[in-house]
Amino acid sequence: MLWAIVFGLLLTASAAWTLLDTFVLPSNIVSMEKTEDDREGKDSDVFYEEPVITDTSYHDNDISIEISQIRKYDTDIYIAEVILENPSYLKTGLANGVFGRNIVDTTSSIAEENNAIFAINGDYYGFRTSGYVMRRGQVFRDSISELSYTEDLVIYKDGNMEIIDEIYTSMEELQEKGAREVFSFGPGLVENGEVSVSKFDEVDRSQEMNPRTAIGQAGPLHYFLVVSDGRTKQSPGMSLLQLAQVMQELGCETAYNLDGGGSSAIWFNGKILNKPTTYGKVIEERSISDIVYIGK
Amino acid sequence: MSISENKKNEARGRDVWRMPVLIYGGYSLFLLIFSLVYQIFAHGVHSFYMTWLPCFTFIPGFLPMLAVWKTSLVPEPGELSSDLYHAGVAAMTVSALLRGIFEIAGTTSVYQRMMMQAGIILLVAGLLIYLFQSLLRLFKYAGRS
Repeated sequence: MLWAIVFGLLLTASAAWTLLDTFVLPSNIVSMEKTEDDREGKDSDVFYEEPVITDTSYHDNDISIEISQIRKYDTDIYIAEVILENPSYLKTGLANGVFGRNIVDTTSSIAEENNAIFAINGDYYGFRTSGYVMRRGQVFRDSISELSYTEDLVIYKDGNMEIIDEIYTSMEELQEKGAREVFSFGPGLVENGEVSVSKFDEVDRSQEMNPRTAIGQAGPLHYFLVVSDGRTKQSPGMSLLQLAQVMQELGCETAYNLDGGGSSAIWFNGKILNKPTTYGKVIEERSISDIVYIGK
Repeated sequence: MSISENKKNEARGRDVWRMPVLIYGGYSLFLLIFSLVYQIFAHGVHSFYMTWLPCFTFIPGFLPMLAVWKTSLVPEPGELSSDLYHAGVAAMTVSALLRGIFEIAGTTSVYQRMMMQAGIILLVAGLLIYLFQSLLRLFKYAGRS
């Protein structure tokens, strides 16, 4: 009887610790270093005209953002077309400016902290303990993903995107090739202009419509950042195949699925444009690890 | 003492195994309901471990205990082997529950894997001791006759 009580208490404590470690306690914290990339495109001698900002657009010398909302697959989809003069304006930001597990903040807070012009959620790397993570040229994690997808999105210093497989490409190779950002969520949606997912492809074991976030490249420094609503009566969401088709129709040569579900968020002009569904169907922004943003 | 009285006494002795059968049965039912309810709120995300969670107490717990209680073919386990075996089943079940939760959420944990490994070690240790004790008893019995 004593053994049963002692073991029961030990098991309960172990389970509680495992849950806290996974969902609550911050760990593996690494600060983000200032890199050359941070200073690119910030030449003080260059004259910048005043940006023209509306509810759905931003234009200045170097950055053009046009946001549109369409309805497809019974779902509201938010599309941002971004054209840049310099690849360094496509940036990534971490919650509290540091890498680590359970270091989280909302997309809007991270965007405001980084003086972003426009932002979407990233890959929420901090919810997992494996999978490549590189931000602004700094490698934070180089272990191969334990989850079912090992496809990563690489953004090189010249602003071009590529989808790679962690199993066949090492982080060292990516560094040598000039990678600046590596996202580990996936899967890749469009490669060489062709849809690369089927109706059977879903993130891990998800088989239903969900809110989605995707990023794609249509040409040199020409990008599409797309977020869809989901899990609501008005918008059930999209499958990965449907998301891939949207990205292909936009003209993307390369497109990648970032973290979706309650994490999906699109931020512009100080507000969230979509309806993020944290905790099931409550419309509220979820705290996440990282964002992709446009800024100077 | 007649053979029939011996059998009755043995059956009464085996009644102590009724409680583990009921406990494992209760846990299996609870885990079945838990797993079904959890998956309703999982936004269509499925996990093998969450789906088959009740099996972790039903197969290594309920069924063997039922066999010990209801049949005289299975030798009764000793205290040490029984304690280790139950601990192993418990650790594996909790680990499977955590894995189901983590898979549905889309994450992993090294501690959950360690708990599963510890559970397997405890369960196998319990089984080995049980086999050793049963064989020892058999040899003693054979030696006497």
